[in-house]
Amino acid sequence: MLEDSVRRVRAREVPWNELRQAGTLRRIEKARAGSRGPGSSRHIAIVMAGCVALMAIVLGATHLHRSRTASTPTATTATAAEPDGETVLRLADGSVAHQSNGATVQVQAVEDERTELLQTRGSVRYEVVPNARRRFVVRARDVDVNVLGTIFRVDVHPGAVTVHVERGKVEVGQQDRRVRLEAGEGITFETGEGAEGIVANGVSAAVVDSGVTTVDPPPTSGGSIPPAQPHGRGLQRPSALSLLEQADRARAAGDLDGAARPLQLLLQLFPNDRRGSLAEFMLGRVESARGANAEAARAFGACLTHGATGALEEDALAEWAGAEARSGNTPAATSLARRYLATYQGGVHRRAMQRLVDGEN
Amino acid sequence: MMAQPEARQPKGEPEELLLAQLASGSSQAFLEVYRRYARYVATIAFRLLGEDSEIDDVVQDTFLQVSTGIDGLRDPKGFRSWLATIAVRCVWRKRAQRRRRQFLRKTLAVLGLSRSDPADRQPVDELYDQLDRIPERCRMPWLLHRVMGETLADTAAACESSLTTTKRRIAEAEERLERGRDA
Repeated sequence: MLEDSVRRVRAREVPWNELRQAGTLRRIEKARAGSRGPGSSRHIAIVMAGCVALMAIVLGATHLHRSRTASTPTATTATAAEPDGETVLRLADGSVAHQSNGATVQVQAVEDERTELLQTRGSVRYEVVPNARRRFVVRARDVDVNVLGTIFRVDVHPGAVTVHVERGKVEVGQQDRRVRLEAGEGITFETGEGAEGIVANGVSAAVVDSGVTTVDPPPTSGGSIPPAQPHGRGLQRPSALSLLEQADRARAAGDLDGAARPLQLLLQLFPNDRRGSLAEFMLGRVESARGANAEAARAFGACLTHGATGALEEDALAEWAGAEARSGNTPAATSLARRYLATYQGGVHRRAMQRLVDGEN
Repeated sequence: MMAQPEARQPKGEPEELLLAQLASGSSQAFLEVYRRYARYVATIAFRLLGEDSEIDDVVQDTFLQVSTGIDGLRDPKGFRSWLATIAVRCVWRKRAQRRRRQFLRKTLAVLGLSRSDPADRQPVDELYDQLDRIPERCRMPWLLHRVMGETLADTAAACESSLTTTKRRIAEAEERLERGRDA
């Protein structure tokens, strides 16, 4: 019992990342610079105490003034175009949003307690400075991402919003469903906007693209998810969505065979479905977990052939390289790792891919 | 079953050379030391405090003391242990401050634990609640040894107590925790 608690405490990720490290270093440098200045420490302490008292008065007055006036976004941001075509939005707290692929981000609020951004298009990589007292939210259609301090990317596609976490943790929600994502995990929400032909049975689906977390679709009044059934005469044909869900449930329960079957069935029944790439990716993960690395490599490769994009494409390429390496196909693994490094210079799997190229794995 | 240490000495430039440069006032050496050990100190702070709201303060205080007190380090090979001792002292002070403002403690704990997996919260909460009822002299070495996986010798050095005393205190903490769970 005690051992179990110790294990859980040890399993908690230390909430320390490069941003936090850099922020603390700035504070240290400031303190060191202050301690090297002229005057006695007592004198400095008195002056600092005076400054703090003055700041407290000013902040208090400002806060009072703000609370009495209507809440409006503060003009504390700066936007700059980078040479590589990226547009960078810098917020007053040091957080940065790198916008690409024609991304549009509107600042809804930048206040002491909350920062809210609205992303309507394109791909944005957010680097958020940790601040436990401030709520940082990115909204994309009906999906919201709540952040403590982390680096993550949001891609707004026609009919879908993808969130992929590089460092730290975020909480992502759609309607009344919430899911926590950790570094390396991603999720794709199908959204109503521009999603003609995607929404099945009136159900807006939420499906995981990194194979870690399961999200049930939001409940709707008109539709329900039919249970997956064997395909045969007189039986209802399962939908692609229900098969994905069945696979997710089986995988969450540790039933790898039970997860593989509906995925294979989905690929067989719906060869042209756009969720084929996701199914192949999940199948790759399942095969990897079963130790069938050659099968996993095939599935990850097929995921790319099915037209995976964004975070899923990046993950699939890295997983493919890893699966090839584990199955002993070193030349293919090296080649894929090189392709990854050439395509995703700042990619989340770059270290693992570099190790493959260096022949360490 | 003994846990493995969470952070070990990083690779890179020779430690002795780096520390000598640091002692001579090199800012570059300080940055390198910080880069190598900030996470280790943050880990000590997080494991000992049980939540993350004061990690930055502990890291800042620890490295400020490193920058001013590096002359006091006699054996460069003992740097990591010396650093841990400073970090433990900083945590000790933070916890003393926290006890003086109990009303804030619960709020901060909730904020910190909200970053963990919800399924793990209850046992972790319970463990840290139990640890809060154990004397500080037993709590610190138990966390360093059992949770962080530090050796008994390193734990004793960080807590500035003898090996025998450290063992006795860890055993006392263990017994109190087990007894608390049985009750």
